[in-house]
Amino acid sequence: MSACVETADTVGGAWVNTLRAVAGAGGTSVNTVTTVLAPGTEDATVRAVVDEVLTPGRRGHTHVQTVETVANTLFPAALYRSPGYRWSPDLPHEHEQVLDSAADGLFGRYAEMAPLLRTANGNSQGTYFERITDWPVPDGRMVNQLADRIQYLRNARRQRHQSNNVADIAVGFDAEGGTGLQVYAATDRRQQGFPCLVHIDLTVHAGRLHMLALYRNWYLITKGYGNLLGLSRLLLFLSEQTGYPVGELAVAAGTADCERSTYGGRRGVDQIIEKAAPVAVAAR
Amino acid sequence: MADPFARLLSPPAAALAPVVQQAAGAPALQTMTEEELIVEILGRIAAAEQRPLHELEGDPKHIDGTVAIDSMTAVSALASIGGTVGRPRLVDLSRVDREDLRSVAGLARLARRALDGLVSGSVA
Repeated sequence: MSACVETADTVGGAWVNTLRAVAGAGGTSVNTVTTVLAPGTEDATVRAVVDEVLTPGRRGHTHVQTVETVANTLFPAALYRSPGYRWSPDLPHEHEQVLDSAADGLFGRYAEMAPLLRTANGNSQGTYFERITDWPVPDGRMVNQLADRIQYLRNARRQRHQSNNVADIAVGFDAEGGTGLQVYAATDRRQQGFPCLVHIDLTVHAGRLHMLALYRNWYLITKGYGNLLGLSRLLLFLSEQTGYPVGELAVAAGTADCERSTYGGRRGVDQIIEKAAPVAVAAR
Repeated sequence: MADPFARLLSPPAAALAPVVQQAAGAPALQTMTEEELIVEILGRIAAAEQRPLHELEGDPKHIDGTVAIDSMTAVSALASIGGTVGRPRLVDLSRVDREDLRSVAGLARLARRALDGLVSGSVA
């Protein structure tokens, strides 16, 4: 059955609300929607609990990684040297060059390290960030979807677009011409459930940039927190590069899983929830 | 009022990090000692981050006394070294001790072992 998840301001609040809702729905849930109202913000207590649970290594059949390792597969924050200001149509040229150089530095370094990253556990088919920035299109080229979306959104800002309904801007299964980010290719062989993330939608509404990430399967404890954090950082990056203030981050999961069999059964997962947040975290 | 973006633009030429390509006469990566690799790695990270070397050297230290780094920075530097010696997959990250990716000294130690493997012909 589906689970109703209360929205929260922070990554941690949204994560624990989701875990609680899915646990309450029997441990797995379909069509679950998680919303973070202030992407990138964290709750220290929740983060500490997650860090304690995610000790890197094998846990049964599951390969556990740290929150930062999971987040880095979506956005390698350490490789991006933020200039500390947002793009705007009126930004002096030399300042825009600094922004562009920061993005190019990120893309260049990641492209160089992508082959090496594929030797890490779980990365043999490339990370999500690699797929976002090096995506095959039908004519045989590889395109950087992220760079393309930045230019598209800058042009939208130049034309003072404050709102674009979903049909106009967010729907995209084609990397060219759309404004979403494709992650799942028709040629993907579904080995071990990869890729779980299949699409990232970007929508401008009321002058803010919002993100919706679509997961086929969402492993809430092993991946969930890191996914929310990585997606948040990706949205913050796009906000800085395009000038649109950050909106909401939402994750829609075809199936969300509490992973009871991996983390101590129903009791083990309930204990994690209890330690992280004894009551549901409400948005302010 | 001073330009708030001044520090982000054109850093003083003298403070720029050394170019990644090895200078004429510099020892080849394959023959560098671990100490020399520490210096080399610091230079590559500074260049990649477009930061002055002295600024990077002032970053927080690992318990081993050298600059502490995160895993992405470590892998990026390793990839840069691998690119120079023609081996993009210089190591198998699934077999690397995570501690080797936490400091410049740890990374130099890992790189030295990997480069020794290239010299000896063993697979990384």
